[in-house]
Amino acid sequence: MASLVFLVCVIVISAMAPILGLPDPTTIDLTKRLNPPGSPGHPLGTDEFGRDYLSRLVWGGRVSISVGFFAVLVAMSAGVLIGIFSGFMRGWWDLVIMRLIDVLMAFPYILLAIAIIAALGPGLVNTMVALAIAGIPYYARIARGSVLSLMEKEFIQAARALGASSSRILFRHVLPNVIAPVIVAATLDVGWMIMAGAGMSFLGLGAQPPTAEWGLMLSHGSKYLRTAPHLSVFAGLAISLVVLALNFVGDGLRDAMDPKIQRY
Amino acid sequence: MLAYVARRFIWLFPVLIGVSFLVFLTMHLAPGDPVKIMLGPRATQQSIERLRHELGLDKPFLVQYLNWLAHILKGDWGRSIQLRRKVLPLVISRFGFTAMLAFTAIFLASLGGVAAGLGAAFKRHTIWDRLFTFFAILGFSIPVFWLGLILQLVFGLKLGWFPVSGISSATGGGIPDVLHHLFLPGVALAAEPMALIGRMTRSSLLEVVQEDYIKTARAKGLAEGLVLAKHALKSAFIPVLTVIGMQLGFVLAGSVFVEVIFSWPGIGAIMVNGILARDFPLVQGAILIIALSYVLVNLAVDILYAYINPAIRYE
Repeated sequence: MASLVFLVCVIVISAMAPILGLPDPTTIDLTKRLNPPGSPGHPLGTDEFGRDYLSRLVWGGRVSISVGFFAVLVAMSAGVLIGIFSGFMRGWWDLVIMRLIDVLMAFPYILLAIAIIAALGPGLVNTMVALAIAGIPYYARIARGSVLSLMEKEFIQAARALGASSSRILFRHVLPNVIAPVIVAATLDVGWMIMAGAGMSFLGLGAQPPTAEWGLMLSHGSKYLRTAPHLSVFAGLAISLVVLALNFVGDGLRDAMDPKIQRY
Repeated sequence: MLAYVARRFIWLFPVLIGVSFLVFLTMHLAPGDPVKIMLGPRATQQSIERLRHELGLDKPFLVQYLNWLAHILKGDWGRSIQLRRKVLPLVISRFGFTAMLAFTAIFLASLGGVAAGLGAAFKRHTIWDRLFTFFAILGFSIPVFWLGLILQLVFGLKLGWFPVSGISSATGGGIPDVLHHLFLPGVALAAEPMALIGRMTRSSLLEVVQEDYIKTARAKGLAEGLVLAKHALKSAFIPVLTVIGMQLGFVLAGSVFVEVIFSWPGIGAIMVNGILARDFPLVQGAILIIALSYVLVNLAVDILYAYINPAIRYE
């Protein structure tokens, strides 16, 4: 519960960044370079270009969290559709689709995302697309597995016997029952996607300067580790706390949706 | 057992073909003309067309892929545009450093994870167990690139206990020096797998101690330590070994962040530089070798698991 409250606060504060009255996150003031936390007018100090660090942290949250949610949303939507189609159609469709999924999953996830970014070129949008594409096989597998077990259930067979069309069975009966495990997986995955997106920006493959983004801020801050360690501490702390909260929420959601736990 | 290994090897070939095709496809989709990149902005149209023909880039896509595959199998992985060196010996030499880092991380993760998981299982439902769960979730919530920076800051710059970059000091120092340089990047990379291995150890052991044969051993009057060490741990370790094997594959790919932070001369670092410099032959070679190693590690884990757990061969 505390994690959920924390997450909501972070999301609301980040969303309200334009109206919070914070300094412009891209305004450069070289007279105030690398000021430490507690400096007048800059509670968390300034970065290497004199930009207010707190402002960049809040604005960066909008970007970093959006990357995570967008990537999961797209991966989940496409993956569920592919997985349901594959599991429902069976036969050659299932064989071909699953072999393609196997090939995609033969790559480590991060490597697949990096390969796609290598093809598309560095950038925030390309990173979101790459993470989403790399995530599709994971959701396709979950959805297909759920469909295969659902197709044996009596209520599906009853629907067929009553003459329901394939599309009606798919969207009316199969999809609502597949979505629950997928949502649990997605909640746990958002944190991972936020980390992956920040990681791509850290490597220089994601968000580009002067965009405020947590991974990019960490990357720039690493050059001043000795003289201005605050540049490396706060952005990383933000990522860790958000991902930690998402993991706790995901764990809680999984426990809440597990019928065995509910029974006892 | 042989039949199972043969089946897995037969399945390996289409997977390797698929992986190579995907690597070729992703580079082929990259915007920009590689010939123009190679010849520079002053190249004439005639020279561009001539080089394109020499490299076979005017042929159909599938023909290009088959030609490329034939070169790969013959050991000709092309030449790095920025480093002007042959790609294959370059990526193999760098991969050696990545493998060193990955194996160190897995060793540390296995040692720490199994010990912590065992402790949490023995002290289940106590404050120690809750602390373990909290730190385990923390372990896979902290980004590896941030952990690396914090370790550099605290243990490298502030305390001065470990070097913060490179593989050895300028004056040399042999294996102890390399191990000294390897420690911080190894720990940074080990954190997440350690958390996963610890959780798997704990849950696996707790599951095994519910089995009837453990209750029988206790009913026979065996000491608790003997029951756990001789009967429970052997069965509990089977899924743990699988997780360790799988994590080795992830760590091979995930080492890119640690290599960049600690200036470790591995394959991840040159891959990232290659992407930023649009050096496609180098990027292709780096991705291919990491993907191939990942597939082979997974194959080895599958075979090891089938050897330890005979039931899996018949599934």
